[in-house]
Amino acid sequence: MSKRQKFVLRRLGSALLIAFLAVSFSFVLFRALPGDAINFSRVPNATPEQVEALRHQLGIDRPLVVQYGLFFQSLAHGDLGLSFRDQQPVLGTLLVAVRNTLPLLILGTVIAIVVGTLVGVTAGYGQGTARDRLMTGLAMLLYSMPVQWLALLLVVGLSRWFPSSGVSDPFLLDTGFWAVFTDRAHHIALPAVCIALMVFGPFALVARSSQLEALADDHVLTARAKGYGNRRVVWREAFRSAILPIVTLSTLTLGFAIGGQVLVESVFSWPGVGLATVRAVSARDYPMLQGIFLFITLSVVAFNFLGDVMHAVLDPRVAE
Amino acid sequence: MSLTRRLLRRRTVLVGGIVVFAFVLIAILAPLLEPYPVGKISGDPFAPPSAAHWLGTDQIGHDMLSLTLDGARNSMMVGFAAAIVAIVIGGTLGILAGYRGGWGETGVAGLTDFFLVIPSLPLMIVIAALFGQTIYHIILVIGLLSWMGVTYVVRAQVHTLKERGFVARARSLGAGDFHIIRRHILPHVAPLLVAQTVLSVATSIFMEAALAFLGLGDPQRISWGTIIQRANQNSAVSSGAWWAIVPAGVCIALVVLGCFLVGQGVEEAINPRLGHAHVSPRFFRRRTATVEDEQ
Repeated sequence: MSKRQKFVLRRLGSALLIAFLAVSFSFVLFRALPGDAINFSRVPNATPEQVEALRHQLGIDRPLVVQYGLFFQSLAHGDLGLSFRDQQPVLGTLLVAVRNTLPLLILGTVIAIVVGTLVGVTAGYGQGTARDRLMTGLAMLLYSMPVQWLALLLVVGLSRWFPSSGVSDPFLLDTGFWAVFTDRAHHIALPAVCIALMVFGPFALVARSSQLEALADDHVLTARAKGYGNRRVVWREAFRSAILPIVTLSTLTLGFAIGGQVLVESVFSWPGVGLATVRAVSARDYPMLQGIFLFITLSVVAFNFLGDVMHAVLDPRVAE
Repeated sequence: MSLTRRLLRRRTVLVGGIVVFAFVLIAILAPLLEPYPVGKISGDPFAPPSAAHWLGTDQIGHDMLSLTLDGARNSMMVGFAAAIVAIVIGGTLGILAGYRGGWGETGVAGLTDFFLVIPSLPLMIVIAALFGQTIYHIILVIGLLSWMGVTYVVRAQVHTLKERGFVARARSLGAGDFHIIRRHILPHVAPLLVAQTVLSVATSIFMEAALAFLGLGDPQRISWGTIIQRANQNSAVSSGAWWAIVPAGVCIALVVLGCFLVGQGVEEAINPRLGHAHVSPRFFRRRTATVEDEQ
């Protein structure tokens, strides 16, 4: 087994361990905290017998250890329980939400990653120049703005041209491909731009400092001494070593963007994981909240692992 | 040149510091500055900015300027209090783990890594929803979930500090652990703690605004976060009442930017060779050290 394979296996092991711990953590969070599901669920004036029956039905009258085992057992069957709000299986609702969230999340972060990298690399090349200051300043400023506020400003400023809520127009009559496509594209524009603006700031700053670090490398000096032009030095020599932290951060970004997504979806009424979170919070729908929390945490763990793998692929030194 | 002098020579640190200080003053002096008492209906609903109401009014007719000033008190309080909670926990864990080494350090490092992986906003939402919504709970929730960045940085620093000559000398003279930590380690990590505190203030103000926007703020108090949330809920946007939304967000952005500038400046001044890929521990947890050429 090569060193690289060993490295990937070790990272896989630690990712699985963290995933196990995170699942256990969510069990502790939702089951063992003071009060139990019965206190939270809305059963006013329930008789003690009814409460007892409900506790039995939910399995929370058994010892914690047994509950812990059962929790893993049902999780393995993909059973996340029933939502308090509509008595539907959490998993089904969650999957629909995920399907809505993904296009928005991916579109927004991809725009931010591409633009952020371009801006960061250009800014890093002319460190200290007016252009660098302007770009760094803009990135810092965007980074300092609350996402929900940025989203509201976008709605105030641009909702005349772009719809500001939902994924599609429910009254659309034309069902042709292009009509549907334009309608969807119109609806996704504002929230995607908002997510892009949110991710762009930190991403550009990171790209800039990776590029600075790479430009200070010896091999860049050599390339310069060989007489290569600016474009080649910046993009082919320096950027190739700067790409490593940028790739690692891209995977981490997806994890963090999911957090910000909650706020953006809430402003734009985008029926994804974020909006599901907001609804679950206001209805105190704990099974749903737990499902969402598990989903987000596990996808972040998975993305981190993906980042490690890509790191190992791009840089063989990592395994040593 | 002393650290303070070096810091004040940086224009960004000076500007950031002045902004943050100004907002601290505003927060303290808010009751004196407010043109109308908070809670008094002094105009028409959603009245645009005018001579009587510089920033217009909200959906009920409260003066926006008074609300924004009063919001400064609670937002800044949450920011600083949560930052202190995070620093006390993170600093203590970081110093003890870095100084002791061994199993303790491995354990703390593992714990830090674990909590760094778990996305903090969703976790805060869950815990805030479980806890109940008073401002003290919010401070605790934010503080208890943002110590990881501090521990991460402090532990690394202490780990290298304890190998340095002056610690070995102090120990050979018979100094105890407590003495060494207090007299030799702490002064060296103090600037780092200051930088982390300032960055934490920014993060905490952000988080409070996010929680408030999701309806998890303290309903009894006005913060910049609740101002934005209420404006949104009462359809300020569709009424075109931008003045009900803009001021609170501008305040948050200014304070957060000020904190970033100061925190970043302090970090760079402590260790000029360690320019850094991150601006704050808020989003990006993996740090890469870079060599930044000073202009």
